[in-house]
Formats: sequence, structure tokens, C-alpha cells
Amino acid sequence: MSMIDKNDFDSSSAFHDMIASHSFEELMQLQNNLTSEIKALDGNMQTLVYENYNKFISATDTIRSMKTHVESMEEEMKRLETSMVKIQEIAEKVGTHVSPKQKQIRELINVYDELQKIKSICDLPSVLRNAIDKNKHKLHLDFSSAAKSYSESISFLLLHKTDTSYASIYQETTECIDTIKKMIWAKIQDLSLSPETFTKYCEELKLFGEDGEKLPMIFCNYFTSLFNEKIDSLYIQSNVEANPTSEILVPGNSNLERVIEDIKKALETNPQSSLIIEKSFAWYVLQTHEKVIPIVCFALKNFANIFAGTFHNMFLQFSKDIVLKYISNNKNKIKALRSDIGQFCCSLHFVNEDLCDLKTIFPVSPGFVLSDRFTELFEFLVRFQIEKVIENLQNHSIDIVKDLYEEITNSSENLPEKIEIPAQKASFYLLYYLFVGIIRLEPMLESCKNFIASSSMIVSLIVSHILNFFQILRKNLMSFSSNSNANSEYVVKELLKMEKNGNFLIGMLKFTIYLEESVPRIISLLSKTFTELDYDKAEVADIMNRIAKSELLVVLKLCQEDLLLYYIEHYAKYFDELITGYCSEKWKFQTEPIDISPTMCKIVQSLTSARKELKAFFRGDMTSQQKLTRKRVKHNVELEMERLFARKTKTIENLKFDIHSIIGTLAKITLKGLYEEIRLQEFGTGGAQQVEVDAHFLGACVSLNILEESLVSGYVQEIVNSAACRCTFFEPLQTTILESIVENKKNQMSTKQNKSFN
Amino acid sequence: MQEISYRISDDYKCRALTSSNNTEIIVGTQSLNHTNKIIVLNYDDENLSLDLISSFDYGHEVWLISSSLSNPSNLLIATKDSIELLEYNSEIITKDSLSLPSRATSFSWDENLYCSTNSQIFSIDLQTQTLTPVLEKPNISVCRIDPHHKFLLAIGYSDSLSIYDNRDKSNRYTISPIHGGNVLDLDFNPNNPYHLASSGKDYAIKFWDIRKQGCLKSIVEHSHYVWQIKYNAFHDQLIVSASSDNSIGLHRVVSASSAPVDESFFEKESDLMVLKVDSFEDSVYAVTWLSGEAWHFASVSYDGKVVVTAVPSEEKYKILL
Repeated sequence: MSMIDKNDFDSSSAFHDMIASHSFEELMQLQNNLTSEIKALDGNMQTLVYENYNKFISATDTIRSMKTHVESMEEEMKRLETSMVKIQEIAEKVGTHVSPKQKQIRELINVYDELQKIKSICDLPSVLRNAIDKNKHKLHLDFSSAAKSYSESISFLLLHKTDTSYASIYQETTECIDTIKKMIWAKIQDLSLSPETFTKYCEELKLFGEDGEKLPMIFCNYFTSLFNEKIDSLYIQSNVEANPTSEILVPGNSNLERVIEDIKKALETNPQSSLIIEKSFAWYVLQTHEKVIPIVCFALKNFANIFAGTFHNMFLQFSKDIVLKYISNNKNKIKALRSDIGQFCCSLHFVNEDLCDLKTIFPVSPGFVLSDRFTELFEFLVRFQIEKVIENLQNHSIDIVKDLYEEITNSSENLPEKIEIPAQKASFYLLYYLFVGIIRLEPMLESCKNFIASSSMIVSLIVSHILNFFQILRKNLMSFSSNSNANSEYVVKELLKMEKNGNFLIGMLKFTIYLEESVPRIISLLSKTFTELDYDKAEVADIMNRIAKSELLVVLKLCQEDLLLYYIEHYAKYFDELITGYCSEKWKFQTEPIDISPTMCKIVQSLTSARKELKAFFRGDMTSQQKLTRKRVKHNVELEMERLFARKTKTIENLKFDIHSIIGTLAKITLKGLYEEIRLQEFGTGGAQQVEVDAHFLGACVSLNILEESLVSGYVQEIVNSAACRCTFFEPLQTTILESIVENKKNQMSTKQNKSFN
Repeated sequence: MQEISYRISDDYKCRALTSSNNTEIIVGTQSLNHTNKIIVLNYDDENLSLDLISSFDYGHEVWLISSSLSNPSNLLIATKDSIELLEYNSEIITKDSLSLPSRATSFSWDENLYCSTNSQIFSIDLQTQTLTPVLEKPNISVCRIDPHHKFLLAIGYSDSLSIYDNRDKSNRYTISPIHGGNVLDLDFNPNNPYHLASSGKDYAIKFWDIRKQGCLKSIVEHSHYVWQIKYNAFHDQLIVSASSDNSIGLHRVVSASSAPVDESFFEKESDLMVLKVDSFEDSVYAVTWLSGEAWHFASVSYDGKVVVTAVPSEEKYKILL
């Protein structure tokens, strides 16, 4: 009956509505409901009334009892006042009696004290001797009470050492002290002492007046070597082969507390179980936290106690060295040990605990802020994990390129139109691995927020690594080009081995275009991940939109341009090989041209297939290239892009990225290469005429929509002239014969092509 | 840009040029229909002129030419099927001649003489008229003696580089590929052992340390084949290149040179093309520094235009100061 609860409930109209709209049975049901509801409400009201009444009764009782007590309190107070007055009177009386003798008493106490002191000074040599005797044959020395007596008396003794009465005592004391010091020094050299005993000896030596640099130096050396020893033993232990199946740590488990508890419990209940997670970074860090850091804290605390304030520089150096070693050990270890993301989150937790422990006792040192060093360590560790994910992605990307290669080369129908699907598949796989990588990093991103203050730093780190991945992918693709100044670091042997062909390069181009189209998806996934992990929304959006998106687009665009350049290079090399074997030795003696050379036919066919490949590629794709706006400040990649443009225009004059320009350039390269080759040969009349026929045929084929006719005829003329120069007697063919040979061949070829299409 | 030119008759094509006696430039011609010439020009730096000193008739096409360092009047010439040692003064005399099985693609002349044909390398002793095959490889385009280790021979074949050790007759190093097309020329750095430059049909000039696989530096400044490259003997950061894009280039490559690394190394443009001479109307196949000279280089284009060019003075001062 929710309508009853409404503010504007009108009982009569509701009644009429109900009668009008409900059947009798329904009304009966309604009435029953209402009755039971009213009863329940009555019961509730009664309980509430009873409870409040109860409270009221108990409050009344309290007030009544307070009233009776206050009345009796007044009498008590009065009694107390009279007692106080009496006490005061008695005290004044005692004061007047005692005060004349008070000074005398004080003097007597002083004299007693002095006498006690003298007694203890006189006893000092014997106390020390006794202590020496007692400790002579003991394994563990204990001079604590002797040291106490010595430290109490030595200042007085030093003051009066020239007095005849004290000179001998002083002499004896010094002798004993020398013996004691020697005994302790002898023990202190033993490196197997426990830290507690060692510290105790140091403390005693300090009390016996040892104040040179030697003692703190030995103190530092002892603890440094102890630290190193512990760390080294951990190193050895962690390198023990262990059972790799860990049930305790589930990768990606973000319930940090539970995981930490699990590890600790496992270690407590069964020390052998440490083997379960041995060889893992989390184990190593936990061991350091439990076994090594307490020693470091102990050393720092005791140095401050024993040498209070003195040898400050040595203290600073000691503490710095220890922390730096700790940090470098952690850095080295993460490289050597297993650490899945779940374990890694635990490791961060332990490292943070180490920081908390050290923070309280670490000395303030100019230029060395402990928390800064730890932040650097955290960053290093986080970066390492990200790098691992990216490295994994790197390997996948090479496999993807290899698969794409296989698929395109093995395809029976490797026509350019069929390239779309494998390229799309490749881009899909790459994105899949990228997204999996990001998702895998989530638990770490969540937990490292607690350790690293700047969240934008983490976001930038991830973004820069993803960008770096694409940059490296691009550099890896440089292995395609023999002409690149590629750093050997990025040369991928598998890619080098691939026999590149036009279709594969176009496939790669398609692949990068699909990747470019996916940039918004990558950005939105990253933004969503960070936002869900409670990273600062504005910061994330800023980094994503300002840096990530634009730079990703630029890198992929550069990738596409590189691939197009390789495409040209690939064909240029192929044509060059064809041309190098073009001229025949027989042509020196040939009397007339035979047929159009097969080399020319191959060149024409290749130009046609290149044209087809490019047509498939340029079908609407390059328009997406124009989307990139260039209003903002130039980034490094952009500058690189401009350099690339510069390189491009110089390599092949006036090259633009459109089908016409690329095919035209390839044609120019071929025609120019042809006359360079001819200049190295020698022909008979027939050989030169063969060149003439071939040149005209190539020229005629190229003139069709590829290059301007005037340009082509210039090249053809140069080829014929070059052949004429390299011929002892050149007689040009009659134009009609020449034209008919060329025309015939052209027709033959086009029929063949049509046949093959059909 | 200081540039002096001289044009040889239209009847002749030229692809061979060398320098001798400091300022003399010797050019050999190629013609199948006329008597070929060996032309000696003198470059006069004071009057900025390039004058014909003598023109000798020669019975063969000159494919390669080189002058002797020890005796400047001695010339070594490769014709289409032989190799000849000539002496020129007032006239030209053939001192020695040796037939080759096919045309020489390159020769390297030091204490010993090596010559490459398309498929073989020969060691040649002109006095005893002996031709000793050294090794066989396909598509050999160039061979060069290492000036620092005279037992090493750099061989450019197809798109690869091989370093042959003449002591134990074995291949010491091989880098493959070094170019995207056939290798066309190699030149050892005169001051920096194990360093050499290569040029090829991929329009690039590349710099190598023969002990390492990776390329030290790659320059793509020409827009067609780079036929010849020559290090400056005094300042090996300078290198000249001749290309069939109808131009020659002067490059400064500090990063792959023996020049000390100073602040200028970190300048943005430490490696660059200092000069491009593109006043030619045909391919340029030969370029050389004037012998015993640091600041001038000569080149000849296929159509017979000889050009002597000076290193720009700003570049000169940058190196000297």
C-alpha cells in the first residue's frame, strides 16, 4: 500500500478508487493486509513507547541519587578543610624546629658523598683488576659494571691525577684499562660475534675512553660485512632451483593483504615451504625485510647511541652506502628472479615496509633523501614490470609479422585484393596482445599507486612504453630496408630472412593502417583502465589526448611511409637485377633484332602488378593520412618525420605518395638504369637495334598513363644514343618496322593478360 | 663555389680520370669509332684556369686509369681486354702490357697490383708478365688493397663485401649485404685502419669498420648510382662521390672519420653534404682529389666535361681552425 505513504494521500478518494477498480475478493484481501499492517504498526509503537518510558524512569533515578550524594559531600568537604589547616600548622612548627640544622645536614650529606666517591676511586683499580681476573678465561667478556665504575670516577681522577695521593691510583687504573681494552680489542676482531655482543664491546670500549676513529670504522666495517654476508647468502639461496608451481600466489591477485598473510603463514608453519616461492623476487624481498633490514636498523641505532654526534660524516657515509647497496641489490635481483604481477605487488609492499623501518632512524643527510631514493627504486621496479610486458608484446609482434608473411606468401590467390583479411587479422592479434598486456598490468597499477606519489608519472610511463613499442616495431621493420642506417640492435634476423615481395609490403602497409585506425580504441582502453583504478581523471585525459594519441598516430604514419619507401626500393632492386642481366654477349655479333627481350616483358609485367598492388592499397586508405593536424608544438617524432621527407625527396626527385608518382618513379629508375647498363656493353649493329626495339617497347608501355610522353621519349632516345655509342656501326631501324614490332608485342601481351584474368 | 671546367671533344665519352704531379689531371676517352686520347690538363690555382698540356693518341678505350705514387709519369690503364703500364713525358710509351680474359672492373695499385674482372681477382706482375688468379667470385665490381695492412684485400661483389687475407688465402671478414644493389666502389680510410667507405646502386654511401657487421653511417644524398668515392688523404672526414644523377658530392662525415671528436661533433649538422656540383649534363663516373693536395678535386662526366672544384673556404677553415 505504498500510496498511503504519499504526502498527498486522500483517504476518501482512495477508497472510492479502490471500490471502483478492484473486485470483491481483492478488496477482502486488501482489508486483511491493512488490518495486519495496522496491528504490526501498533506493536511497534508500543515497543517504542515502552523503551522511551524505561529511559525516562532510569534518568529520574539517577537525578534523585545525585541529589542525596551532593548533600553529604558538602559535609565531607568541610571536614577536609579543617584537617588541611591542622596539617599546615604542624608543618610550620616542624619547619621552625628543623631549619637551623638543615644546612648542617646538607653539608654532612655532601661529605658522605665525597667520601663515597673517594672510596670508589680508591677501589677502582681493585674493581678493574677483579673484572680482569674474572673475564680472563671467559669466552664472552663482561666489563659492564667495571665500565660503569670507571666512567663515574675517571673525570675526578683525571682532575687530580697529579696529586700525590691519587697519582698511584691513576697509574694503576690506566694500566688496568689498557689491559681491558686490549682484551676487548682482541675479541672485537672476531667476525663471528653476534651483532649484540659486538655492539656491547663497542659500547664498553667507548666507556673506557676509546675515542679514535678506529672504533667507529670497525663498527661500520663489521655491519657492512654482515649486511653483505646476509645479502650474499640470500643470493645463493634464491638461486637454488625450486619447485616452480606456486599455489600461494595467483598472478593478478589484487588482494594484497591476503597474499602477504599467505606467504607469512606458509613460512611460519613450514620453513620448507619457503621453497615453494623460492627463486621469486617476493621471497627475496621478504627475506631482506625480515632478516637484513632489522640488522641495518640495529646498526644505525647503535652507531647513533655509542658515538652520539661524533664521527657524523662517517655515519652518513655508512648509512648511505648500506641503502645504496640495498637498492642496487633489489634492482639486480628483479632482473634475475621470477616475479609475476601478484608477487610483484607483495614485493612493493615489503619494500615500502623497509622504507618505513629505515625512515625513523636514518640520519638527515644533505643531498641524500631516503624517500626519494626509494621512490626511484619503486619507479625502477614498476618500469621493469612494464618493460617485461612490452618485451613480450615485442616478441608477439615479430611473430605476427612472420605469420602475416607466411599467410600472404602461401596464399594461392595472393592477389592484392586478398591481402585485406590477413592484414586485418594481424592488426587484431597485435591489439589483442597489447590489451592483454595492459589488463595484466592492472593489479600492479592499482597497488603501485600507494607507493608512488605521482599518478601521472605511472600513466606517462605506460604511455611512453607503448609508444616505444611502436617505435621499436618501426625500427624492426627497418630490417626490411638494406638502405636504412638501422642500429644492429633492432635488426631482426627473422625479418631479414624474409624474401620481401610487393604483396607482403602492401600487406604490412594495410596492417599499419588498421593499427592506425585502432588508435582511438587503444586510447579509450587506456583511459578507462586508469580511470577505473582511480587515477586522476583530468591528468589521464591530458596525457592521453595531448601526448599518447597524436604521437601514436605519428609513429604509425612514419611506419607507413617507411614501408612505402621500402616498396619502391624493393622494386628498384628487382628491376636493377633484371637490367644487369639484360645485355647478352651474343649481341656483339647479332645482325638484326630477334624479338622483344624477355627482360623487357618482365619489367612491364612487374610494373603492371606493382600498379595493381598500389591500386589496392590506395583505395581510400591514404585519405586517412590527411587526418593528422599539425597545429601543436612539434614533437621529436614529428621532426623525424620532416627529416624523412627530406630524405625521400632527395632520394627520388619529386616523389609524392600517390600511385601515379610511385609507378612513375619506378619507371624512371628502370629507364635510367637501362642506359647505364648499356654504356658498359659493346654491340654489333643487330645488338644495338635490339636495344632500340626494346627501349621503344618499354617506352610505349610506360607512356600509357605512367609517365609523360615527352619524358619517356627523352629516356628512350638516351638509351638508343648510348647503344649507338657502344656500337661500331649503328644503323637505326626504320620507324615503321620499329613501330609494328612494338605494337605486335603490346597486343600479344595484352591478350595474354586478358587470358590470365579470365 | 670555385669551379673550373674544361670540355673534351663531343666525339668522346669519358669514364676514367686520375691526378698526378700535384695539379695534373689525366683523362682517358672511350670511343669505338675514333682514335682514343689520353688528355693531360693542368690546373692553375693562381689564375683559376684548367689548361690542356698534352693530348696523346691511344689505341684503346680507356676504362680505368691510375697514376703511380712513386713515379708520377707512370700511368696504369685498363682497356677492354688488357692492362697497360704507360710512361708519358713529351710522348706516351707503352712499357708493359698484359692481356686479361675479360674487361677489368677495377684495379688497385700499391706495391703489388691487383685487378678484378667480373668473376676473378688477379695478382699481376707486369715485369714478368704474369697473371696469377687469386680468387673467384660472381659479379666482382671492385677490389682495393688495404693501405694499412697490405696483405688484406677488400672485394666488392654483388651486394656484399669480403676481406681477403693474402697470407693464408682465406676470407677474413664478410659483410653481406652492404648495399641494396650491387656495390660499385670501395675506398679505405687513409688514416683510420679497418675503416672503409662503400658506394652502390642503392644510391647510398656507407661507412664500415670491417671488423663489425653493422654499418657506421649511411648517406643517401644522390638520386642515382654512386659510381666512385674517394677519401681525402689529409682530412678523412671529407669524401667525394661521383654519381649518375649527373652530379658529384662533397661530404663531411665526422662521425665515421679519424678526426678528433670535439664540440663540433655534437653540432646538429656534423655530418652533411657540404657541396653538390650538379652542373653536369650527363652521368659522372670518375672523381679524384688532386694528388698531394687537400683542397681540390677533379671529376669527369660521360660527355667529357672535366671540372675542378675547390672545397668551400668555410669548410676549409672549419677543419683547419
